[in-house]
Amino acid sequence: MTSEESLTNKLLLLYLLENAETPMGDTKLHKLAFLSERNMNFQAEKGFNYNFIKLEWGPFSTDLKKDIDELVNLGLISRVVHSPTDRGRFILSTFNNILQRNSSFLDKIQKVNRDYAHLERDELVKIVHDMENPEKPWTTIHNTPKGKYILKRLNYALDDKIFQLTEDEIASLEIYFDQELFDSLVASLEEAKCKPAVVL
Amino acid sequence: MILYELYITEKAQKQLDKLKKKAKIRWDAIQELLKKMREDPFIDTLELQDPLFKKLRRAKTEDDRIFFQICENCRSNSTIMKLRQCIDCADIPENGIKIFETDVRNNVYDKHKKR
Repeated sequence: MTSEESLTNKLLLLYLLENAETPMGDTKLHKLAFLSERNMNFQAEKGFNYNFIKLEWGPFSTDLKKDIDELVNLGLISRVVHSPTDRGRFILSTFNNILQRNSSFLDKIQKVNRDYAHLERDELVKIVHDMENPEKPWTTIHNTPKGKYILKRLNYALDDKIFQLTEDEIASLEIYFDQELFDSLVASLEEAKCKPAVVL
Repeated sequence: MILYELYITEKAQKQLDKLKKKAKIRWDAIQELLKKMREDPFIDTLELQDPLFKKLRRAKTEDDRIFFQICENCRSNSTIMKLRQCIDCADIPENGIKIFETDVRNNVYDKHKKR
């Protein structure tokens, strides 16, 4: 996965949690991200970039799980039952221009949240199980063997609409999604206010 | 051609010193980058636009990143000057570049030693 894809995933994940307006655990978050990506892929929109397999509780993505853990460790979303922290919201407001520019991706997330975020986890799992498998539409997710792919991320194609990030936005997001670098850079800028630099 | 003069914060200097001791190949790559920055800091570097780090520039080697400010750019923008407030601003010439950060954390050893 490219840095651009990874940063897009994290930004959209934060947005999904903020827009849902309800804290949720890993299982529910997986379903909502799956449904959002499925709707994006149907429209050939490359937003979320996760591969999902079918497990006991429905769609599961190893990369999504890693991102959730990373956002928790970065202090951007709360642990166990997830919702954005103040720092997570700070990132969303800082990069609001990126989100607004890519509003068609947000529309998909908003619709999924409107339709499904209010449901109890078990109810949502049942609904998703009864849906057709996007990779094999002649069968349902329920009837798909465990461990099989049910949604694959889009590869770059000329006719895909891609979540747009500029080079400088990628550079900035790399800092904001790297707490150690972010803190170090802030500390360096603060140091410059009280300590003179030396000639190199 | 007027060359830019490089200034570096104590913190960034320590990061570079550490790299010199432990990862000479990466240090050499940064020296090459600094040489290019002296000649033209706009080439192969990009300017950050987010509110907190606005106008800082980033240069990259294969493994490491440098974050710096071109002083004349800072001085031409009062918002940025208020944000930076470098204590030594008056002592740094117009053709100065200040290096704030050399992000060299990632496993401070060379990946491939030259044989």
